[in-house]
Amino acid sequence: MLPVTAAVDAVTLPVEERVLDNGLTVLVHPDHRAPILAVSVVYRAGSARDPAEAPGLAHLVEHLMFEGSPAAPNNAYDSWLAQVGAANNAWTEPDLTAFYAWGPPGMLDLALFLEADRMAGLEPGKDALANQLAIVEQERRQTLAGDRAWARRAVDAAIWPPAHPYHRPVLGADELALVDLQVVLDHADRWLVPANAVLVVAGDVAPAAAFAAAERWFAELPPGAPAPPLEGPPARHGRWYAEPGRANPEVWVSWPLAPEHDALAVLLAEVLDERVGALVGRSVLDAGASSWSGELGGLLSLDLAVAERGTARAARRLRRSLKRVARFGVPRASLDRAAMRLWSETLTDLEDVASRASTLGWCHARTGRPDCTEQRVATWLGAEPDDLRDLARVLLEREPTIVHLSEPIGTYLELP
Amino acid sequence: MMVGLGLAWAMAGPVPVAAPELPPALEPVVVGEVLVLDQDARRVAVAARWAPPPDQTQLERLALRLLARTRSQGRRGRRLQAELALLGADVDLRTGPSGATLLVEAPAATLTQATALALEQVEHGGGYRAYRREAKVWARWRAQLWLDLDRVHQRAVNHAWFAPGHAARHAATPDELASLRLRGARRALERQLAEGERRVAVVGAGADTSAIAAVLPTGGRSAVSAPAPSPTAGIHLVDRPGFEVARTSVCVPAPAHSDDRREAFDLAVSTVAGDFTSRASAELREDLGLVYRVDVTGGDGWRCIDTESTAGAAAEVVGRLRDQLASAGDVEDAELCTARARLAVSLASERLHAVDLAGALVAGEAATDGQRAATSALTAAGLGPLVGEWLAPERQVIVVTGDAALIGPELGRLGSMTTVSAEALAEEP
Repeated sequence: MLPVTAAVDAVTLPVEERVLDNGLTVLVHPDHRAPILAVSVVYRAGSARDPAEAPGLAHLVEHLMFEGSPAAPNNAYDSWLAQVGAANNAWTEPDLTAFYAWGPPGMLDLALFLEADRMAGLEPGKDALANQLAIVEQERRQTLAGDRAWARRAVDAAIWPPAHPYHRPVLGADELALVDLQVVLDHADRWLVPANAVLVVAGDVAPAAAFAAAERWFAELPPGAPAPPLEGPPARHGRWYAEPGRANPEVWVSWPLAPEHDALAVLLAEVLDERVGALVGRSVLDAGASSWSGELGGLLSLDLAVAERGTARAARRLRRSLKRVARFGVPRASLDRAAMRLWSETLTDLEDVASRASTLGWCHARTGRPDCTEQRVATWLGAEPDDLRDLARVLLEREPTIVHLSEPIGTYLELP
Repeated sequence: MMVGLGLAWAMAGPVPVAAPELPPALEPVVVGEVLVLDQDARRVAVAARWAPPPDQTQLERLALRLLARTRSQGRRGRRLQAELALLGADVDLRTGPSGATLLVEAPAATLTQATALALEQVEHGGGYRAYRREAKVWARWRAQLWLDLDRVHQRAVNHAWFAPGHAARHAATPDELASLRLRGARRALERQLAEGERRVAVVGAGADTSAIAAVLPTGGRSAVSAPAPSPTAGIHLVDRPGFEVARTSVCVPAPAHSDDRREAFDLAVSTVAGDFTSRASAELREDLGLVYRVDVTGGDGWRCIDTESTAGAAAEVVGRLRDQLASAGDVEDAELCTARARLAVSLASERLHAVDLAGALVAGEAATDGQRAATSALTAAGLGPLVGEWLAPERQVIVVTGDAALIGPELGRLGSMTTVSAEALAEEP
């Protein structure tokens, strides 16, 4: 097995960091493997900041960021970048909203000008709101047609109480259709501001040139205010069922996670994924483990789909698998395998320049530092079996949330 | 929040940027029998591909596919998987009508060892029980195929595009599945590794290529390529009641991977679909809000434009996609420049993915000098005649999967249409 230092070195991305006077954090990662430049802006505001009456607003704003700004009207963001061969995309999660573009190194000024312009203010075209609402609705329909997205939505709704910021689905709900343009603009004005953002320039660029361009295009923008800490009631436990009528009964057993356990929980989930995956056979169609964590904590979930009825027994099997870890720990070999698999996935993720920009921005926005990937890898490869046993014990101090899909066990769960 | 940024800002417009040049075609060096591409990568990748024997049967192909899926399930396979993980290696085995490809990615120092272990895992990793279990999982997937909109749609596209008996549309019957044995699968693999022509590529730096070549079976002389498709042009509606969404694919024939016109053809298709600024995306997504995205998929000799909409809007989506394809050869200079710039960026990005590059090299998918020269010399005026023969409406295969009661009446007005139920389609061999 690789020594921890060698493994960490392999995922280390050299970064220079500056903060402009208006609070915008600028990270530059020079990477001259190919003539590619990537620019990413990550805002510390995702669906957790959505007003209760407009679930899905942050994601809708993400879409409208491409629909016009003062000096780049209508769809100019996309078309101007496309003209030079650049492509772009964006994502929204509960805590963050991020935008990224990748293209030729010569696009540095164009890409930063476009990002600065839409950070200065949105001016979507006349029919843009109605069109984007329709597109978002189509995206929601398409995403929820997938079994795992549909199951995760039910799990989030169950474990986070309705007053919790993570209860609301990122892609929103029917009420979003009623939102008006002013609500959209207010959201952008409040959250998509320099003091609440991280700008990353990665790829075939000299750091001095990148910092000069960042200064040139962003320094005049007023700072705005950073996002205050999120607040929410504690996670809840219980047994629910949701969405009858899907193909196969399925059960998800989830335990709430504290944010500081994020990296170790990813490793524990990887170990458990291998264990519960071995249950797949004649009556078990699919089984797995996963974890997710945000500013307010997260969850570690075990899931199992069965060919016919029987999710109550399946839930007991899943709980037992975590109890075994709490009681007996995990074998060293199993831990090492899981750690190396995660390292391997991380390396693959970091091949792409755009992924590097996105990862650095995500890290900084989440942790205040650009090197969280190195820290996570160090945690995974430096972990001892006892660390996972202790984490399993901490998790088992709380009752899990159990969601049965397509099988009526427990209280019916109304999905937002 | 509007801020006073001054006239210079407002006048900035699209900051002028020189369009990137197309990178030259990949030029791997031949070392022994191995194609070697030396480049900066944190792990080195090896791809080894063996062509199928000319008399390989459909059932043998399925047996190999199941064998590939079981490689880490048996006791020996799990042990090997653990060793591979500790070497920092990722392994994949892809089997299909055009060959079996083993892909290994690992730090240079462990690549030879990882390749040997990967091969051992493929040959002996899954035991008898794992193989039987995988056959049962496959049978269950087969039985429930009609429930899943995406799977049944893909099957419908394959059925419309390939003739009966073609590997791409074959799904074994329950009797065939019951007859599969691990011994037969291993024999099929041995035959392919012994008789099929071998191609090996290494991408990265620092690997011992001769040692890697030595651990891989040398193969034989057979170099059979996949049988050609035989598309059934027209509109094919697959009835899957109960879904409010519909999947749509408009498929056209395309130049083969080795054809000098391949890249030029893809440039024309990319003006129609493939990213948010494509014509179809601009119309169907941005102007009309009918779809979330419009993708291009396909394989050697064919491309499909895929999208998803509400069932009620499916006919309109099909009609507009057909119109877009009809004018795909009518490209303006600016559009051609944009498409070429996009291709240049995409090719530069692809070079960062060592394992994908290695796979493309052994599959003959990497662009050739001829293709690159043809693409560089292309003019907007020359594109229409070049792509016209492929995009003719009478050659299009249109597949829509969803609730026929909501889709059928409007879709039928667009031309001759055949309708089949998702259950019936799933039952077909």
